[in-house]
Amino acid sequence: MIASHSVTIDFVDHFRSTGEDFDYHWEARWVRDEGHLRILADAVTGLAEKAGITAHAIEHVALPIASGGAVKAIARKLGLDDEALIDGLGAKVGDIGTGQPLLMLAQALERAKPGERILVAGFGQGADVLLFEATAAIADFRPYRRLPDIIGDGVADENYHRFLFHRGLLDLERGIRAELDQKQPGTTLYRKRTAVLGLMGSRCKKTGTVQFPKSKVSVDPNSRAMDTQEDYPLADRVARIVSYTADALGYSPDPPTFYGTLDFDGGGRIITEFADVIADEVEIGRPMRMVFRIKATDEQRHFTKYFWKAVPIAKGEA
Amino acid sequence: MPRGIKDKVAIVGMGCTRFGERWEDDAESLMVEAFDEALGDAGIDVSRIDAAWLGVGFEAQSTGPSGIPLASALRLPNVGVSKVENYCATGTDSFRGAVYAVASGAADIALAMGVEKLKDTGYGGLPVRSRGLNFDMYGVTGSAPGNFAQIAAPYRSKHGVSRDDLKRAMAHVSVKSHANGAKNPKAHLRKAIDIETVLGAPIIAEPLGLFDCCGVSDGAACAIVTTPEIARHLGKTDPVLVKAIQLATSNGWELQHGGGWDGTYFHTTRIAASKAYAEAGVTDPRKQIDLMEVHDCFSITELVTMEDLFISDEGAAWKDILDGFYDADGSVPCQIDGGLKCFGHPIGASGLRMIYENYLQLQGRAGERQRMDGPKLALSHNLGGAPIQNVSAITIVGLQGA
Repeated sequence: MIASHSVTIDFVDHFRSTGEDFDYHWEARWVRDEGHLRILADAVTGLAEKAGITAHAIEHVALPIASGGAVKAIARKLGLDDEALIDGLGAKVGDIGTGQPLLMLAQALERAKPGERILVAGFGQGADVLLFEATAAIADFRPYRRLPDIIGDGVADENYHRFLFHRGLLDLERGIRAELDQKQPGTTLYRKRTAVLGLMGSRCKKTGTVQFPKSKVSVDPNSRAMDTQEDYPLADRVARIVSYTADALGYSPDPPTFYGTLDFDGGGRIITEFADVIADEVEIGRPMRMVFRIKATDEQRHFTKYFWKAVPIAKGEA
Repeated sequence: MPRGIKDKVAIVGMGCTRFGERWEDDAESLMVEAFDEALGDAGIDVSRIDAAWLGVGFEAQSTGPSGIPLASALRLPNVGVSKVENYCATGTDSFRGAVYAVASGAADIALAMGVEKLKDTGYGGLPVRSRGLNFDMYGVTGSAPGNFAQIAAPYRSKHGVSRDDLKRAMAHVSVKSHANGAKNPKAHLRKAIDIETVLGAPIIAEPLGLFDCCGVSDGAACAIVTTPEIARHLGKTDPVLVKAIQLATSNGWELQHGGGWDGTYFHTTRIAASKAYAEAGVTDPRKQIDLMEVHDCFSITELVTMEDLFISDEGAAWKDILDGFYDADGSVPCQIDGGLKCFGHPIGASGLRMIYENYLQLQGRAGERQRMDGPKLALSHNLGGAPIQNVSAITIVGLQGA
């Protein structure tokens, strides 16, 4: 980071009180004229002055404003290069709020070359503007997955009731099968935190057998080795389907539940749920990637349980 | 290899309730009904029972914990009662306890009871329950059909069986069991069905349709066992003898060892079957076993089990099934009483229900469904858990000399 600039102004363009489901917005024209074109644009100018450069010279500019018109107006006012503007991805991912500047920074990092500058702004009750310069190391930057791939995984759904349900905006009677107590784990989660939250498997130092989760005695049928297991991360490994089903009986907020057994390339086996799948994509041997997702919700104590699920690797990827 | 218990224990009395939706009954009255029949069959007084085992799969819904529910229901004379639970293999494990007590000489006469009252849960199928705090963090709490359905795709893939052929063979399993159940007055489901009905039914867990799945029932079954000497003393001139009981329990290999188990068979059943045949002195099961009751919780389970019991060759069970080999009039009838599919599946009672049918058949007491070729050796296979982690329990009973 080579410069930063912040201004704080009580400018209540929208708000959401504690416990409310939705934001309350003031008139968009006022927000644009007084907020974006004045407070935010002035903050960018302030930053440029601090850094001793003109805004026009910045190669990548992330202005997290949902309105495309407002972004263009700021660019015109400050003389920003059109090419420099990072897409807010509103048409693809919506207005994601607090995470918007970081999503745009991720895009900038995927395209920046050594020596280029990246401006990232945050707007709300004033503005924060940060200026970065890519070092030579950016040339070697290989993201685990590129943003277009991640966004491309999205599955369009036109069932509005489903959207409302998953947003918690529709109270549905889920039936007796949903009554299994998903009590939040305390001591057990702490003890098994690397396995549950990090998908940490283990490898036997004696036999090389990989397994999930770790155990005192190795699962290797030919070696009853004890206390020989070292950590072996599985989260980034490709796993292939050994068996599967689509379960329409057990309760799921998104039936049918696809799940099955997977073998990791390099060893290890897991049974877990599949996510983001359509029936035609599931077959024996299909390569899958592990993703960290909501496993269940403890409705009584309002605790969300997370674990790893398998999603299909797009053809041609990985 | 241990010496085993072949011919050391005789069954002198058995009882089994009608299985089904017994809205008027609870576990207590079901146990009394089964016991009443067994006691009459044995021709003894309750005071002669030295020890008892109670098998219950879902105690939270059925009986509550401990052996007390059995002792209280039957007003047993303060004998030791052990409660056992081993998933759906619970009934056979209860039988094993009683048989071992007699074989060891610790008891002269012992009782094995299995019971389940499932129709108080408010929904069909097995109660959804926790499998422990660790498992609940990373395991999948799938339904029973979901767990068992997973054998189908790998089996098809490994043996090159088309989707249609396998579906048809699975359907035949259910059509056959419905035909058999229709002849059994104690069966839960007594309606014959045709193959089109099975193939056209809604999917429960891909590729299992409604008729590929057994339901759950209320019911109880029990056995009174003793030594062959006491049995003869009680007037049983040709008693049904226990030839073998073997349990094999998964140790996590199928579940955790990548690249090991391929998902197409039951590892434990093969082990339990091999040990049971050795204990009973069976060398050619396809020829020597006269009839079988197996754990047909799902059609695909029965299909694969025919191979794991070494009756059909690996990858060939679906052909034997379509050829009628396991039909009531086939070479080795399987589920001649309707099986879990139609007799019903009150979890804790099922293993004992299978033995009950074999016991009746060996004595020629099976009524309209009696196998007429004089069966002498019968096998029951009782499975608990899921394909990837389970308990497989095999009992072989037979007449003297078999």
